Amino acid sequence: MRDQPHFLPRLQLQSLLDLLIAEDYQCMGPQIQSNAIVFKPFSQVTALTQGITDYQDAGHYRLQPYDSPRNFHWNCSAQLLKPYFFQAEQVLWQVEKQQDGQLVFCQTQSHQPKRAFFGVRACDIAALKLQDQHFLHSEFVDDHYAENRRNNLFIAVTCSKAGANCFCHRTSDGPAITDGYDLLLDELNEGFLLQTGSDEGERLCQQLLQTQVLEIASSEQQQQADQSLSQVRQTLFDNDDQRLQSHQSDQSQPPQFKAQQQSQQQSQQQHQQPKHLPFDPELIRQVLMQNLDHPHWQELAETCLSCGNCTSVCPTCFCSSQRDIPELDGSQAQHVRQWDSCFSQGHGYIHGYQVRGKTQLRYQQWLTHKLVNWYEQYGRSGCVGCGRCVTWCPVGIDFTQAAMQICQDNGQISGDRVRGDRVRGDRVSKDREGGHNDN
Amino acid sequence: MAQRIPAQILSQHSDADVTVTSNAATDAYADTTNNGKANVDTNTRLKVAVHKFASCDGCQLAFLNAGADLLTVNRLFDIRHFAEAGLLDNRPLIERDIDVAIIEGSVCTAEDIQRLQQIRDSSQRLITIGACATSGGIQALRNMADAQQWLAEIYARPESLSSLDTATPISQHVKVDLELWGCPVNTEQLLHALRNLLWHSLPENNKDKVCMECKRAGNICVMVTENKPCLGPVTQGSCGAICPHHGRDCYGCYGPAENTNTDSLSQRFSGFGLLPEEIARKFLLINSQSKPFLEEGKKWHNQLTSQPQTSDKGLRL
Repeated sequence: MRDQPHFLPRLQLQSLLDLLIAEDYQCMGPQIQSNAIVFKPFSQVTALTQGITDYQDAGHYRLQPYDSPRNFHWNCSAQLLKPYFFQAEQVLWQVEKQQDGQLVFCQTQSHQPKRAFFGVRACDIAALKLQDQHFLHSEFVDDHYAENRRNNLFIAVTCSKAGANCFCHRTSDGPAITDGYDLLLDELNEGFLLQTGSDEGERLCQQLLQTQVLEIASSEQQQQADQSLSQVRQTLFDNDDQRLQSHQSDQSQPPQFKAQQQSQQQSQQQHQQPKHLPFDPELIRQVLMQNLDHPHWQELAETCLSCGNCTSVCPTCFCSSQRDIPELDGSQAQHVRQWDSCFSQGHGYIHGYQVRGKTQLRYQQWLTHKLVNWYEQYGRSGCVGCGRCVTWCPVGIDFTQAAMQICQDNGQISGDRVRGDRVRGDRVSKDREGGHNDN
Repeated sequence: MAQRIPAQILSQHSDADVTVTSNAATDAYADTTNNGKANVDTNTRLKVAVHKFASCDGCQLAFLNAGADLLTVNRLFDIRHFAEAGLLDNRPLIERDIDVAIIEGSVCTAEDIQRLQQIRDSSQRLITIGACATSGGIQALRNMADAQQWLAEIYARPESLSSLDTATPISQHVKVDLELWGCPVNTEQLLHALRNLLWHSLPENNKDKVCMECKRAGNICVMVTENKPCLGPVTQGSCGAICPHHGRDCYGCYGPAENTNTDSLSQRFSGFGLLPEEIARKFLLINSQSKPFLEEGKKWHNQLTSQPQTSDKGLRL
């Protein structure tokens, strides 16, 4: 499985860092800030997270001590690549008023340094591909995104644990990292298995070999890494089964979405319901779109704050709004693009008319675009299973549970299907072909 | 006095600018008002008056804190009255011919009502700045209490005061053309609005939640990581999410956002262990008279009064 793996002893991680710095890379790595793991520039490995892990649940994120020298034993940072490439705020162009009253427009150019990202995960890579598809590979190339995407090096790390909100196995985006990286690390206590995935990665690897930083990985080390990955995969599926059993035993109860009223403990029990999606394109497309009048949408709307946190942390969401920031004297103005959200007022506003005034319609837009209409646009779902939208929802709405609830109540999903069996479109019941309810 | 310094700056430049007939700023105004004719006399500058009602003056300070931009403001506008900055228009209110009246503070006395009406009658446009002017401000907490009793408890000679039992937003008395929320408003917000006025446009109506700004700023959610009862998800932005940026929970000083779900948020606060009185206090603070906050606050307050609490921090509203 691992093609010619090398071994990078833990003490030599700094050598890799030094090499990259010598090659003018700005290194970005996981560090702790405001009780969460964020990505910031660093030049010493001591700045990296170490002896720490994360615990994530719906609307809940905590860092916990972890008795190990590992730097990457956590699942999903608050944000990772999106803010660096699709910037939260970006000046697109400037306009200046000349003496004679003429307006002169110029496109702003930002020049980014070469950047190396340490600790990129399978879900992050999958999301990056989707963002690339939108900004780079569609009819119009986004110059600003393209500029930000130049000269980046991705040092991916295979997840060594599965978080409670992780479901990359459901979207086929993880937990194994198969491509999209320059260097791939599998973290063991004593160091890292290292593989290359690009010419640049190979070149760097050769340099490390020349300076005798790398060793040959032993078969035990390879075995350990393989076992770790299998264990992660197993945990992901075990979590499914546990949640499914819990969900089935709760079937008689009404859909429970008032997590807010519950204590921490109760809330955790509630989150043991299915968290994974029935990621079958046909199932999702037909069932969700045929059930836009399902009562569960209204229940969701009663809980949803329409605050846009989910879309902001989603690594694939790409919606933006634009505004002008004029100088006070009116002599010039900047035209700024900023992250928008389908939960905002402006997103649903067309000239003189608000098409998504209510939260229910905004939630439907978010969920159906991500899981249904994304197929039309980009040939796959827009969800990569990172679970950020679940973790960072202030009221703990579980996106996957929302989709499950609507599908399941229509008898669409049996336990087998949830466990991963493919469901054919012709098996989808047609008995609830509800129209779009615009109320 | 510190606040007089900008006043001097303003008056000095006011004199100097009379001779300036062509600059980018006045041209910008001329373009939209005189069919592109340049060299507009500076007397065509919009005449501005800043008035204070019951307030702490913080919003006027946001104006005065504009620094060097104040010079530009003075070049672009003809500031006729701004007592905090030392500029007084001594003509009777009703005789003043003002283009833009900027109002800080809420209506707390009978005299306020009369003065406000006169300001409105003599002004083309009226803009309110800050929480007091837009939703009553913190002094509006008395709207839910026995104001006379409060007066009697606090003042040695309450009969010497003549205040209304309520503090009310400006829009409850006269037509308001633009409301700038915030406690206090910030300088950028104010200058942006002024700039737009010169173009005869309104600044974009940013009623999006603080969360949007917070996430754009790269902050970490204090609700999710620390269970802090943050009002960001129901509060409108423009503040730059400064409280969460510094690790504290938003207290809603910019007023309610559009499409708020205060019920869900306060249920969450309850889940964090907040008592009904604490939840009521979250909503009934700076923007207590804004409808969504008032309703939500009252709901929890009523729960409090129907079920007496043992806490000694009783909410006296």
